[in-house]
Amino acid sequence: MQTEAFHITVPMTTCNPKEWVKLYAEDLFKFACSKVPDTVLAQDLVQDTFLSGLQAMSGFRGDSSEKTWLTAILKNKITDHYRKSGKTVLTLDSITAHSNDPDPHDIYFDKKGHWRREMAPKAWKQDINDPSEQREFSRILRTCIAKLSGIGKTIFQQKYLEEKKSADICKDMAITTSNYWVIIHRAKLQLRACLEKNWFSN
Amino acid sequence: MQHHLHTLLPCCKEATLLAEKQLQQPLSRWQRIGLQFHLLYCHFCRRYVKQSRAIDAHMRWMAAEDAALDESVKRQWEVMIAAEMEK
Repeated sequence: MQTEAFHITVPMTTCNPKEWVKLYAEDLFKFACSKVPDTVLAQDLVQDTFLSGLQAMSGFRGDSSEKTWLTAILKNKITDHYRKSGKTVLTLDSITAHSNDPDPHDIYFDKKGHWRREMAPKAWKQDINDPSEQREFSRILRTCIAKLSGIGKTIFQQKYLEEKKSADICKDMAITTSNYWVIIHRAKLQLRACLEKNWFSN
Repeated sequence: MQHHLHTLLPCCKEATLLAEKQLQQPLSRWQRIGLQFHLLYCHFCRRYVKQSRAIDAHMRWMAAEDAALDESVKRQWEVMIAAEMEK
């Protein structure tokens, strides 16, 4: 499937492909890394983005910045990638089955706030920081992060992958600190459960 | 009184929230005592804390990994772009 880069336009005067790598490669790569499960794939997508950008360049006549434009192409590449691969590798059935619950915490805790037996943390046999396992673990972790719901995913990525300060996140997202903790807590519960299911149960 | 009792005896839901908070910033004294006390008798939450800390460590490793885009890859892209522009 062809990425539709041609509908996104940018003024000719601001386009300088010779500077692209120097100016945007790091940021585009970081962005791709936050969306796809492995860094090699992220590199491929950024490379494709540059190629599509070059091809689409002659048709430019828009008003967004060069960076915004390249990021938009990259986003299309990422969407295409997921559409093409068309598979959801990991299952979250035990979590999504309860997704109609009013409070997502109820999946994990009973009315008294104790762990539900089936969701309580199990002992992890492997060490996730073992160098030989780290890459595979990263892949699963990224897929699990991608599966986090809405605001939880955004905040989690900003906190951990972009290493933003929590005070800045609260300000930018217009949330209170107590909401911030509830969201982080929920995201971590989801992530932990997803990891346990997909990594440690193998 | 009610409040203090609650803080001193957090349930698992509260204890894990406190644990998340503690990974990012220091807790108040009562929160710290409450969490420590809970962890004394709750092995699920002890596991949770250990695993959550390990996930954080791995996230930091991953963030460092992401930031490091290889210089040779960048040079390769520059050559590629220059070649494409020749066409």
